[in-house]
Amino acid sequence: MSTPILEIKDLHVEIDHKPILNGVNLTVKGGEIHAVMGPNGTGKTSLAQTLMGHPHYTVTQGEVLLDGQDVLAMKTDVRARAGLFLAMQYPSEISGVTTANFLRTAINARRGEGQQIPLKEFRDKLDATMKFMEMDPKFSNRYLNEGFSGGEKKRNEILQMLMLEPRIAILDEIDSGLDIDAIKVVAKGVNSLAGSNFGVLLITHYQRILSYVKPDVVHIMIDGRIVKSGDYHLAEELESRGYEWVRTALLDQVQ
Amino acid sequence: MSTSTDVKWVADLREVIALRQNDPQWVTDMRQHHLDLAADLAWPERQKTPLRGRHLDLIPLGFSTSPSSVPQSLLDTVKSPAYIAFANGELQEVAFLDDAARQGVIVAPLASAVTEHRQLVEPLLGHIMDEPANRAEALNAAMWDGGAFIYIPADVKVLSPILILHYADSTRARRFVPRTLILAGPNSRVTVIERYVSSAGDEKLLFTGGVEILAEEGAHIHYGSLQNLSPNTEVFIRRQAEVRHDANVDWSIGEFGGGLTVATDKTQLVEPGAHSTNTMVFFGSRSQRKDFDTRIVHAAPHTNSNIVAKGVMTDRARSSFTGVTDIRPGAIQSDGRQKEQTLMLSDAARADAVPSLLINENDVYAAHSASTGPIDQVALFYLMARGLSEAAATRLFVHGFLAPVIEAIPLEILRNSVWESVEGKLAE
Repeated sequence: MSTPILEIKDLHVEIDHKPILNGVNLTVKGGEIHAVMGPNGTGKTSLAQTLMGHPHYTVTQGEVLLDGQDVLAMKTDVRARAGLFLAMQYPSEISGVTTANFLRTAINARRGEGQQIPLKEFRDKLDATMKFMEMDPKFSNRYLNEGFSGGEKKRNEILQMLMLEPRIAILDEIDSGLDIDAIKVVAKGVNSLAGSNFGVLLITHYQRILSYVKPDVVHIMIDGRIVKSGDYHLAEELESRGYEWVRTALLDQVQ
Repeated sequence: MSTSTDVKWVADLREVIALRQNDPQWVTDMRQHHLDLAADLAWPERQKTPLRGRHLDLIPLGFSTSPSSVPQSLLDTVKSPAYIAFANGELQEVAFLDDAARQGVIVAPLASAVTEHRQLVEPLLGHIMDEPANRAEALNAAMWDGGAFIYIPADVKVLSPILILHYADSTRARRFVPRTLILAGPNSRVTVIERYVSSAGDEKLLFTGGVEILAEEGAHIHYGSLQNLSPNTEVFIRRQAEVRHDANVDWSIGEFGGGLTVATDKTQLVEPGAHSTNTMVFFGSRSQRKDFDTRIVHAAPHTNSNIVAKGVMTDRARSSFTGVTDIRPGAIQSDGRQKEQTLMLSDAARADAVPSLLINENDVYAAHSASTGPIDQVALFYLMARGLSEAAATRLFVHGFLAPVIEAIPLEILRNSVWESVEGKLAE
C-alpha cells in the first residue's frame, strides 16, 4: 500500500455554535511523526475528535483529505476502515463486551465479508501484542475498559492500534496520567509501527513523551490554530519557556 | 359487559367445551365456571398499556381450531432427551428418559393427566394460581388445551432439562391457550423450559397462557420461558409459583414476540427459607406494546428474592415494567431486591420502569433501582472509530448490555435461544 497522506486545510470547527478551531493547516505523511502541543482548552482534542468524526463537532469550513479522499464526507467507521485511528483521551467503558471480542469484531469489520481473521491467527496475534505491551493476558477477557485504571486504558488504546494497524494514528494525550515506565511501554508500541506506511499525529501537553517518540515536526496550537511549527527543538524551547511565552511572543505575530 | 357479541362467543366456547369428550366431569365443571367468569370479567387493566384500541373482543374466539403440526426446523430445536411438543393445542410428540420414568417422573399432556393422574392434578390445578382476575386469565382456565403436567417425586433429580414447545398455526386458529402445571416433590431438582411460537398471519390470534408451579420443601426448580410469538398474536401470560420451606424457584423469562404482551408473574414465598429469583429479558421493536407485572410475596421469615429485568426498546415500541417486592408482616429477616434497566435505541421508543417495595416488617433488607436511558452516543463513536458500522456498534453495545443477564442463565440451550431471539430483533 502506498504512503499515506493526511491533509488538513483551513479547518474551522464549532461545538454548540462556539468556534473552537479557527483555520488549522497540517499535513502528516507516512513515515512522519508530528507533535501538536499547546495549553489546555486550545482545541487539540477537538482537532483529534473532528478528524475521527465525533458527532458533537460541526465543521464550518475547510477540508480534510486522506490520500486525496474527502474524510469529512465519511462516517466515523468509514474513516477507520480507510486507515485512520484515534487513541482517545477518555476511552468509553463498554460493559459486557470483552476486549478480545471487540478487537476481533473490529478487525473483521476492516477485512469485510469472507475474509474474516481465523480465530487461531487472531488469538496468536493478540497474545503476542499483549505480551509486547506488557499487559496481563487476563485483560483480553475483561469487559472493554470497564474498571481499567487510567494507565490500563491508555495501554489498551495502543494495543488496539497495534492490532488494527492503521495508516495514520492520532494519539490524543496518550501520555496523560502515565508514569515513566508506562510512557516507555506506550512509546515502544508507537515506535514498533514506524515506517513509511504509518504516520502519527501525537497530541500532548508535555514534552516528556517526546523523548521516547521523537517527532519530526512540532506544532504549537493556541486558540484553535497552529501558531508555530518547528523541529524537535521547539518542544524543548516550549518546555523551558512555558506556554505564556508562546501566547505573548507568537500570538501577536499571527494576528 | 354483556353485549350481543359477548353472548355469541360465550355460546360458541360453551360448545367447544362440550365437544371435549375426554375431559373428566370435574374438568368440564371447572371450565364452565371459568367461562362464566370470563364473560363477566373485563380484559386486564394496565395503567400504561390501554387495551381498548386493540379490539380484543373482535377476535372470533369461537373459531374452531383445526389440527396442524410443528414445522420440522422448529421441532428440531427442542429434540432432546426430554421434550413434549404441541401444535394448535394438540400433542404432537413426547419423548422421555426411561430411567427418569422408572423413578416416577411424569411428563404428560395436561389434558390426559387430569384423568390419569387425577389425585395429583386436581388439588393443584387452578389452586396455586390466584382466582382469575380478568377475562384473559379466566379464558385460560376455561379453554386451555395444550400444555404439560410435570411431576418430580421426592428426592429425584432430573438432570436433563424438560423442554415444552407450543406452536400455533395462525391460519388455523384464533385462540392459543396453553397451560402447564409443575409439581416438584420434596428435595427434587428439575429444569423446565417452555417455548411459545406462532406462525405469522393476517388475522389476530389471542394467546392466553398459564403456568402453575409448586416447589415443595427443599425442591429446586429452574423454569425458563421464551416467547417468540408472531406480531399478529395478542399475548396474555400468567405465571405463578408457590415456594415452600427452603425451596427455590428461579425464573428465566425471555419476552420477544407478540403484538401486545401483558405478563403477570407472581411468586409466593410461603414458608421459611423459600427463595426465588426472577430474571426477565425483553426486546420490543416496531409497534410492540409490552407490559410486565412481576411480583414476589414474602409471606414467611427468612425468605429471599431478587427481580432483575433488562429490556431493549427500539422503533416505536413501548414497555412498562412494574416490579413489586411485597414483604408481609412476620416475614422477618427477609431479603428482597429488584433491578430494572431499559435501553432505548430510538427516540420514538418509550419505557417505564416502576419498582416498588411494600414493606410491612421492620427487620428486613430491601433494595431497588430502575434506570431507562438512550444508547450512549459517545460509546457508539468509540466503537465506530475502530471500524464498526453503526449497526454493528449498536449490536455490540446491546450484546454488552444484555450479556450480564443472559450469560447468567445456567442452561446453554436456553441461553443460545435467547441470544438468537436478540439477534433476530436486531436484524429486523
